[in-house]
Amino acid sequence: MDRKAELERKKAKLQALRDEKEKRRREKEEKDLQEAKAGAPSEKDTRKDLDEMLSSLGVAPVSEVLSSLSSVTSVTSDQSGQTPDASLQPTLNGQNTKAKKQQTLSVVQVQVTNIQPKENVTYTKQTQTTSSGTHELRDAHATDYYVLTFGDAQGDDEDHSLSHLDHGGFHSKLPPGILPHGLPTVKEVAPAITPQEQKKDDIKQVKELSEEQKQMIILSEDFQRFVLRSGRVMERALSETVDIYTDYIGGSESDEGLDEKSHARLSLNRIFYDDRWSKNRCVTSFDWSTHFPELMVASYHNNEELPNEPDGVVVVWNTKFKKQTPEDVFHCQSAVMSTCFAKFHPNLILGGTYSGQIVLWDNRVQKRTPIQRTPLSSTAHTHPVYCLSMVGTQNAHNVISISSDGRLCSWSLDMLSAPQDTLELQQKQPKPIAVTCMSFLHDEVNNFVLGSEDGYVHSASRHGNRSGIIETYEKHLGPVTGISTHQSHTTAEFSHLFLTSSIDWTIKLWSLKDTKPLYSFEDNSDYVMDVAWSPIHPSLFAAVDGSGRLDLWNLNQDTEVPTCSVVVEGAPALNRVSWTPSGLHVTIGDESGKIYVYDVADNVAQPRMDEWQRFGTTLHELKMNTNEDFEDLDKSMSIPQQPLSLTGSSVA
Amino acid sequence: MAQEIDSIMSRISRHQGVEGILLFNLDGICIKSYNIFDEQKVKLCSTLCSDLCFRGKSIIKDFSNGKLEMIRIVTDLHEYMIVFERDYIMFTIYKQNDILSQK
Repeated sequence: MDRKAELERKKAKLQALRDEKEKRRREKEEKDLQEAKAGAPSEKDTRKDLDEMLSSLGVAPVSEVLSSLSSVTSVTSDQSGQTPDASLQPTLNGQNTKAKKQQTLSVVQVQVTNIQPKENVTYTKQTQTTSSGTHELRDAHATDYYVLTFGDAQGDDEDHSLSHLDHGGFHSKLPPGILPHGLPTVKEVAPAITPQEQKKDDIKQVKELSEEQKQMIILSEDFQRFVLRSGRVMERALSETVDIYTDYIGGSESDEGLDEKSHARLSLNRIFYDDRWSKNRCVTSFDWSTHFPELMVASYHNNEELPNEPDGVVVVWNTKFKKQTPEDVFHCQSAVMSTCFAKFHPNLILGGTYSGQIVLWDNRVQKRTPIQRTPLSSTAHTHPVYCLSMVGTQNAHNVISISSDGRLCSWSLDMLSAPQDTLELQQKQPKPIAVTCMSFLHDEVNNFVLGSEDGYVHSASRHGNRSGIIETYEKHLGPVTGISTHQSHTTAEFSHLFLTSSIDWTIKLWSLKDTKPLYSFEDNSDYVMDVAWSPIHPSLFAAVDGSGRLDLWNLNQDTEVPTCSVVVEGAPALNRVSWTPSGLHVTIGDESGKIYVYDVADNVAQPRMDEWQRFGTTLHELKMNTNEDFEDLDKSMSIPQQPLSLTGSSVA
Repeated sequence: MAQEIDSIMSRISRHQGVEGILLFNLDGICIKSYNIFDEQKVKLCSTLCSDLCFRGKSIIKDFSNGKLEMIRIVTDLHEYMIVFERDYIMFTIYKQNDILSQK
């Protein structure tokens, strides 16, 4: 109650002060006006105008002054009333520039008001809130004792988004006994009375966060980041529906279902599909992260049904968790034809687009659009970039991109404004090659193989004596859709092998050394859209075709027919196939935006100890079978004499 | 961006078994609540939860050098999942269905 009375008194004082100020201001104005009138020009016309103006000016303030002045004596009002009269009769004063006015002087009562300086009730956050990094210095008293209290950690202070709301007087004090977080600082124990008082304040003020403030918090960047990150964690936690409290005593084991699965050699594990971002968009490429082997990036073509949505979409999926929603979504204005993770930068994702630009996304920034783009100029690409890959080592790496006009550009991630190096891939006649797919040989930075639209397969190298196309192999009968080099990590024996798939319904196995294919797989009855070697098994590869079929071929078992084959539900046209780095799952992308992850049974996916040897013999046999030339047969017979005798019986 | 947050949160709240989600700040004031309409319950949740969070954080700080990231409280009726970010807390009430009823 005292406070209210005090406040009232203060308000009255303030009002009085304001009135005084106004009065003084008006008086000043009058004086100025008087001086202005005094210095008025001698011409009559202008003077009259002036007079009118001044009078109109003079009258108004005077009346205001009269009304506001309650305590001023009438003498002063007379005086102020006389001044306009004086102004209306400037001619009386003669032609002196300075007209002397006959003013009647009178004694004015000066009103003196004594207002004490306004007491600013300030408080430092340090004493009354928990979030403080520093402690105020107080005189050390002998009887005080010190207690370890925890101030806030340094970083939090700057970013505390509620700090601007603290002006309202909101402070939080923890009930005694609970220690706030932060670094320990030595602080004096506050006297006993205050915590209780503040606790009361605290309880009152908890409810004071208004709607506006809440809205402000919601719109703040900090809050958005919080929701994105914790939302992700929460979704993952909710999706892992393992009930750890199940009681097995009552019922039978729930593992029976798993045994059934293991019998099927290829079984659907899950489908990655996002209604908003991947619907109706053809999957154009896959890549796996080297830093986090469970992360996969998939790029999508444009959605023809929704032309207003961005044309190019790249989605990062997480295969570890059962959460159905993407890890990250990025988009750009042009359809993304190829994508890859930046091998040595875990946060960057590259995409090659239909327009020829190479775009770079960063998942640290909260933007979904690219943070960097290559220029759209003749120095870079002007045709769709179908092939994109990163080669090199941690310290010396490059991004290699090939567009469908045969131009190869190598870029450095630091400078995407101009390619480090360009190379025109041309055949012997200066005719550019329309490259559709490319693959670097295993562990190679220089040599790669590529397939083109006209069906030719080439091997090329970036640098060296013969940069450009080294060798051209025999034609496929249609454009080459996919190319895959052998991925064996253990031996380099088979690194000269690669597979190509084509629209002519075949898959061909080649060796770098021969211009003719080693073998042609003719089991498909539709366009074969992609082929991929298994990363762990030397003789296993997967192929997808346009009729929805996924085939797994094991060359050691059978070269005529795939080892296992499955038709995807709904038989969509499958566009891309890729193995997980573990080699136990196959992912395929179809034309409507769905990504299927298939489990491959262990007995199929895992190579046995002798697989490499068997593959060697298989290759040899393939060579033998295709070679009709007697001389060649002799030659090939003589070389691998020893290993044949070691392995003994021929393996079909 | 507010719409995006809304869509993320509503998607989580529509997840099978989720009964409600609350978002607080460190001082225990509820910023947004999904599916929980009882004012009293919200306030109770927020005050209790913020106490628990402070306690939990200080325990972890004392016990090890790590930072508290998540608390999951499982009772016979519900599961409460509390996720911590720097300045805010997300509190979810979840009821896991029986395996038998799922099949």
